[in-house]
Formats: sequence, C-alpha cells, structure tokens
Amino acid sequence: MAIRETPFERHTPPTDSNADTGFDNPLVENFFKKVQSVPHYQLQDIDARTIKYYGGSVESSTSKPADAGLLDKQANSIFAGAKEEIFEDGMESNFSRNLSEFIVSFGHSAMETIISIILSEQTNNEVASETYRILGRLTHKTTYRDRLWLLERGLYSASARVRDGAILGLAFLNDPIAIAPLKSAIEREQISELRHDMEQVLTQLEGNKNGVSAKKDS
Amino acid sequence: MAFLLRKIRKNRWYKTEQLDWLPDGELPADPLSDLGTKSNELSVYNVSADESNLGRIIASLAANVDQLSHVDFALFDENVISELGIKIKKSKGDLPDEQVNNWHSDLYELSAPNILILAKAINDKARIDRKLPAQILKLIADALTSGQIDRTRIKWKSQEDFEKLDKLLANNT
Repeated sequence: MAIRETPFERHTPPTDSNADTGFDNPLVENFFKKVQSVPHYQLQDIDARTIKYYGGSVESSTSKPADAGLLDKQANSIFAGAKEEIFEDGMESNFSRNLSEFIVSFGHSAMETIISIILSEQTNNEVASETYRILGRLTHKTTYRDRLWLLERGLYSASARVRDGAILGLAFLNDPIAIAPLKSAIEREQISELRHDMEQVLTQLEGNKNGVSAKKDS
Repeated sequence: MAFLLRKIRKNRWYKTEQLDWLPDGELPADPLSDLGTKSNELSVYNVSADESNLGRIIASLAANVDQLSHVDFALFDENVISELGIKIKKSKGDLPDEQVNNWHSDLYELSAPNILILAKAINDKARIDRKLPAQILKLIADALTSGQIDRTRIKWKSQEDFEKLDKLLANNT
C-alpha cells in the first residue's frame, strides 16, 4: 500500500497534539521526520497527513506490558496469517479476532506496531483494507485516537481498496472530527464510485455533527 | 423489468479505476471472488421492478452474518441471465425473514466460462450500491418492528450490535 504523494500543510491537527512523534519504531519515526521536513509552500490540505503522531497515550490498566520485539513478532504473525484468508463483509475472521485481541491486550503499543506495518506497505491491499474496517469497528477507548488517526491517514492510500476500507472504518467510528479530512479526500478522489461512497459517509458524519453523538468508545 | 441481487464487495468492481497492467476491455480477477459457487450454483435474490422489496432483502442478508456491517450489492436485470444462456431455478433461501426466503433463486449448472460472462455482464450492466451500517440498522429495526424478521434468528455475535439496534428501536417508539 503506497501513500499518495499529495501536498499537505501545517495546521493545528484535528485529532492530535503537537508533540514529537513519540514512536519508538525508527521506521515510523523516520516517516514522520520526512513529513515534517516538507517546505511550507507545498502545504495545502488539512488532515491526518499533516498531523504529527503523538505516541504518549495512557495505556489502559488492563493492557499488558509490551516488549517491542515480541509485539512486532506477534503482529507480523497476525498479518502473515491474514494473507491466506478470504474476507467477507459482516463475517468474523481469524484476522479480525486476532487483531482486535492484540489491540485490546497491548493498547497503544499494539497500534504503534500496526501503524508501522500498514504505512510501510508490509501487507497487501486486501489485508490493509480489512485492517481499516476492523479498526473502525473495534470498541476500545485507549486506542481511539490512534485508530482515528490511522483511518484518516488511510484516506491518502494509493490503493482505492484501502481508501474504501478507511471510509468504512470511519463510518463505523462515526466521529464528526473526520469530516474535514473526508471532504479533502472527496476533492482528491478520482474514482467516481468511491467518491460517491465517501460522500455517503460524509452525509452520515454531518448528520452526527447536527445532533447525534459519535461513538468515541466511551 | 425485475432484478436479481447478488451480495458483493463493491471495491472489487470499480469501473473507473485504472489498472495499468490490465488490457483494455478485460475484467480483473478479483470480482470473481464475489461469484463463488457451491455445487456449481450461485445464490441470488429476486427484486421486484419497483424495488419495493429491496430493503427487506438487504435487512435479511445483514441479519444473517456475524456482526453489524455495511452491505454491498449488485442489482441487474433478470433477463441478463437468459440472454447469457444461464439456467435459473427458484429455491428456498435460508435467511431470518421467511418471505425473503421465497424471493431466492439459484443460478445452476454453471461452468467457469458462465461465471466469467456473468461477471462481465454485472460489471457492464449492474447497478452496484452500498448500504452503510447506520442504514442497515434502520432497515433491520424496521423489519423487526413490522414482524418481518424473527429477532431470535439474527446471527450477530456481539451484544454491542444488539444494543445499537435496541437503542434505535427505543428511539423509534
């Protein structure tokens, strides 16, 4: 899954802080350093692409202490198994069960590992798309902001299938905070069918903004 | 003109997506994943010309899976099947709405070339659409309220999904 080469700007992020990236993983750390080094004149959009990821979320008291090496190993095993699965809408899979359990068990540390795998294109588009759907569906307060951030980031994927997974995840998360990045994604979208689906999700989120509360996993 | 409905994954069927490696006029392989046969048969649902039973069929399909989800579907003219020389027979469905089960058919004695020409016909002629989870909840709530769906036959595993449904039902009353 490649990330689109699109311009971005420095704005106050809608979902996160202005702190350093907070990532222990050099791959993700380098990615964000690259993002932050883009000259101001190239910066135009406002969404997750512009946001520095803050890794300082407070872990749930139920999260297990995490060893980075073991987490990487476990995550890689989960994603490797997913490549052999055929996913069907509405049906649980070994991947959805394992990934959800991994996130609930290890919280932010798990998300850090997952973000690394997704952004570094270590998995195929089908699995990445499925990951976004699972992230949106999961109810887990500790990782809410991490998941929202990655879902917004998914709107920039070069793969239409992955972008679709991201909007489905956002539809489940149902948080009006995603309205701005979604509008930006609609403007960029070249595939008319996908743009229509994005507009459908936008309508849902704007409906929430006007009264219905978002899920926020609380 | 009545229609046939097949549940699919919409993102496998984008017509306007440019795949550099794909020769003009050819269909990529992934859409065939949505036309997986069992005993060389393929399940479809009969939708009336005015689509008045479409929501009811979708609600029933959505209640027959592990969790609340969006539903993607292809809707195509039923005459396409006879034009392609594909055989179709009425058969009983196995969904939580007994009436919907009567709107079920099987395409049968399907060969591999049959599946390919069907996929091309769907790609060229079908309306491909999506209902989001929030819309699905409403359809199922309506079906429960009107007694179309038997609640005990909803297959969702998550209590959270039922809680969302109950919240909507409470708001509707």
